[in-house]
Amino acid sequence: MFQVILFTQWKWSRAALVFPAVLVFALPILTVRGFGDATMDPLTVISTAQSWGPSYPIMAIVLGIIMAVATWSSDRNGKHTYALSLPLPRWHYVLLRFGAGALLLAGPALLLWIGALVATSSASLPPGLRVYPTALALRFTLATLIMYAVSFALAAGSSRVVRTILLTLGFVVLAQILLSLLGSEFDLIGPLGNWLFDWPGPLEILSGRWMLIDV
Amino acid sequence: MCDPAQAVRRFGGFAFLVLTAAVLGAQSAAEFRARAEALLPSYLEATHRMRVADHLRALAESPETLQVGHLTVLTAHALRPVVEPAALQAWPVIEERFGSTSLLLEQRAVIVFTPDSGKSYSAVQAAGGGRPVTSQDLGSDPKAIAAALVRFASLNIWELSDSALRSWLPGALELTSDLGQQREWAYYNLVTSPTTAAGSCLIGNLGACEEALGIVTSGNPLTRLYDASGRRALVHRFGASLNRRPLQLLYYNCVSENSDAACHEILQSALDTGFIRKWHLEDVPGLVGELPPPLGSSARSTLLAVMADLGGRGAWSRLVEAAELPLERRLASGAGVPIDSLVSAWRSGILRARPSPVALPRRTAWATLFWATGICVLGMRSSRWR
Repeated sequence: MFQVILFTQWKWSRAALVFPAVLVFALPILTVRGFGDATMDPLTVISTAQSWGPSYPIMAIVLGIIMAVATWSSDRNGKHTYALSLPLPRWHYVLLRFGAGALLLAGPALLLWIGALVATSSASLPPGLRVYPTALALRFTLATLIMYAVSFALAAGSSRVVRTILLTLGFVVLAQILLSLLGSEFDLIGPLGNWLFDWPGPLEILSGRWMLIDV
Repeated sequence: MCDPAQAVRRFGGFAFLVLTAAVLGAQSAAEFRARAEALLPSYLEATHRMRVADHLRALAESPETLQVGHLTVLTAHALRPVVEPAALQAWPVIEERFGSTSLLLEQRAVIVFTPDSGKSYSAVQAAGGGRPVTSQDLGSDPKAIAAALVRFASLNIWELSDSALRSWLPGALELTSDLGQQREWAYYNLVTSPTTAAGSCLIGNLGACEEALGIVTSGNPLTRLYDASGRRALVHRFGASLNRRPLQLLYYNCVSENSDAACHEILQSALDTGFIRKWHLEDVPGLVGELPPPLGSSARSTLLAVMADLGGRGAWSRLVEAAELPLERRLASGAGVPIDSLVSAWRSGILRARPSPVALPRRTAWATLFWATGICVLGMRSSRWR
């Protein structure tokens, strides 16, 4: 059953995944472009690596959302007829879908790792700097997974749940704007952001250091 | 019969065409690009100066001079309600930091104006003596304007200080920007510097830190600051500039044959003939001799910030007023502690600013897997079909 789900999911999502996957492979190569010799100033190398850093979590977010949307779009369009026709309880079906999507996301993550290995092996760095292709790929894999899980859960939920979550977030932002306009220094978004992006928050992985090259 | 004048004109025209074609033909696309890129800063500077001139003309119609302490702010009458509170906020900070040194600010006014949109304010330092005009977008928040006034005050005070201090840190003094970021860059500088002084400083040798910071200098920096591998790294870093006649053979022996004598000779020769200065170091602040400083402007700015923290209100005054003393004693006098204590405090701050490791912490990996599983379980419990 898992193979069937995996195959259908691959069919539904491959068109949307190809371009981001190629981009993900190219990112490390673009990062080290110009690092052809060790005569560069190390601070310039680090600064360049830092400037490319945000591209990796952005791609992880994009890939996670694309996969989650692709996972559920056919079910949504077919009003879940296919799923209901299977002799499976819903939780089992959702688990199979989640597993298939997560497995397919391993492809872009693998591409990033290969791209990072190729890029770092071709770059010649000044003394004192080190490369982190595996750490970056591992971080990317987990970031993609968590973004996929969040988007997957939202896409799998009922419209009411999604609406409630979005309205709550919108309310928080609106309340913060109103408080600021009233001159209050009460911070609503800061603690929420801290909870999400600091350990042990769900999105902490996104806020780490995304460096292919560092000391 | 041929008219000589016409013949000269024809020949001249022909020669011009041939020369133009030769010149244009001799330039590759890369050279054209490089020339165009070289012109860009001049264009931006000219555009900026034109904008500033326009604003100053507009400002002259209803000028307003605000004097808060020694801080002089020129602005338009309409902007006074916003600029005055900002200046009142800025002055105590400036006075607290610079003490009697802030008297120097009377020599420089800061102009605050609003660009066309009227929604944000820009500051421009009063241009004098042909100095470049600098400006900064301040937003419309009085706090941001106050912070920018403090920043301009720092820049001005540093520019007006004595030449010994400015030659030690020729770049702009940035005390109001994010000190954490500066410390992080100083850390990177410390761990990637090819000098032995920086390496020894990293492992706790305070004397080496003083050398790396350029506080004390003695002897030939080529042998004092660099070991054999450092000299080779330096030659490698200068690369193409040194790999040319008459240094080509020495370059090969240094980089390919690992000959320290060749590395030493090529660097000394390059220093003597001005190669390094000519090709690399004209814009590098804080030279030790003519070699790049082991620790650059970020590290030196952070040292001054530590000095100001330790020395309190009178730190800057003591630093500036002791102009006849060596730098080591001036910094110690400013901080109010022995130079070793100052450098030790600086080094601790730099090491604390070490960026978090790139390697993924195990707890983060487990937390992410935990959350992904939990969120998946929530998705499985959803009641969309029911």
